[in-house]
Amino acid sequence: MFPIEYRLDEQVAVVTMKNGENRFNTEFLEAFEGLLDEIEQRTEATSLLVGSAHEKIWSNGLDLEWLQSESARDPDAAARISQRLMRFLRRLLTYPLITIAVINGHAFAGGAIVACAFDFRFMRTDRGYFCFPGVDLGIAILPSMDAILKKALPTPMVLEAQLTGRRYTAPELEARQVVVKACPVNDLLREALAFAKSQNKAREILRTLKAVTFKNILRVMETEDPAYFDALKGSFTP
Amino acid sequence: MALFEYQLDDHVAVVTMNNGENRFTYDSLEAFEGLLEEIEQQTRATVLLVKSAHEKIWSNGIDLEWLLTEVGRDPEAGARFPSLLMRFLRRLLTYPLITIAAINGHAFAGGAIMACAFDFRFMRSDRGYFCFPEVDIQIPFMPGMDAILKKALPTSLVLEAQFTGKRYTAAELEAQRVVLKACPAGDLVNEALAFAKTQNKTREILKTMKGVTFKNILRIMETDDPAYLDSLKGSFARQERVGG
Repeated sequence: MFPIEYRLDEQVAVVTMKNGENRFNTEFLEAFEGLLDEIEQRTEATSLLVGSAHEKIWSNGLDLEWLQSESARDPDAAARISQRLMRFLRRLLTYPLITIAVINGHAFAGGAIVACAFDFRFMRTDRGYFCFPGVDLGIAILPSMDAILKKALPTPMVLEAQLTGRRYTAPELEARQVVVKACPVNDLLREALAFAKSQNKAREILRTLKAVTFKNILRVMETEDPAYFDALKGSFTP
Repeated sequence: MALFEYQLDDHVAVVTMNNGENRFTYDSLEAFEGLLEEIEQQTRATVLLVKSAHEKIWSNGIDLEWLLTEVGRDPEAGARFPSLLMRFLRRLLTYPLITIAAINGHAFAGGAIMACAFDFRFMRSDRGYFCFPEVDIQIPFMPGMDAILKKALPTSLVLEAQFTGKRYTAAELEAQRVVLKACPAGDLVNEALAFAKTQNKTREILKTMKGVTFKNILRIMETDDPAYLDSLKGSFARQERVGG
């Protein structure tokens, strides 16, 4: 089965991640980017909506198990996947459609970071946390990931989320305006889709607006991340 | 009595500022930095919690009366003192522990800036304001201070706080999430301590995360503040002359 699929509903490309816990490894990121290319080139969709087929999990972030076995073969694997993930985040951030994460389960670690790279978020109320557990795992985020958090979270929440590793529920995130709406799981897709359909903006203007408003994040990716990739080399090596 | 004291409660270093209104002078900054050094070197604390012994005041910021006298003797002090204050704020900002201000009284001017340099704030609800009166006393912020405000306050509050000099209550700051919790004075330290005890992160990861997320503030401190300080040299002395 393909790890990620989409269907069109009017001008909305409705994507489903079908890769278990939707953990990021090279293969899944390739498939995801391939799908983004396909939607951009072969459809006229102006909104992208991304949900998960998993009952409880939207995305649990980096595939650490895979990374550990990769690292056994290649000491630069952690640096390589981080770099790969950054390329994916940049693609998502600058994608010329309105992007909406339909968080219908847990969004942890890299999963929560990817959710922040979307323009908007809807989240399931009855189950699922949004959480950055890096502080407890001893894994720091890269400068551009920090910049992505800062564009999605209200300022006072940035430190709380990063330094405490607190698990936030959908209503808490709705109160902080991190998600546009918290909904029961059965209404989630419908609500997100209704919002998506009310947005039918030209790709050209979206591309331009995003390049302007995310300019600083893109600059951080180019100038500050590389030093951290170098520092990652050899980490995770048993 | 020492200007600053601390006691350990599990992994939490509970610091008491004993210096009256806790205004900043050369001596007070040096004593505070010395204590931070001692806690980092001689304990394994992972959380720093700072309260005031004063009944009504957490900190009123720079000791302006002292500073004017100092500048009278040494015109360079008008630039040297802010540079020491910035060094202190940088130390607080990059301290490899979770830092919590237990604001149990007024936090005014530099006192409010210092509160913003902490990771988290708890504040007394029955008494005490959080206020930047700089606009009314016509003392500008250093670029690094402005950057510190911007990491603690929601965007919509930054200009209001700076340009109007509004006095905020704990309840208002809780609603804006500038403080994690507003509590009656009797519960404040206990509430802050209870939160502190739930946080026991390694110093190593805290140091790394702060290095990343505060990178821009540190860059501003390094590049923008010094130029600004040069422009300040002799400014207090000039004001005195103008004032007669």
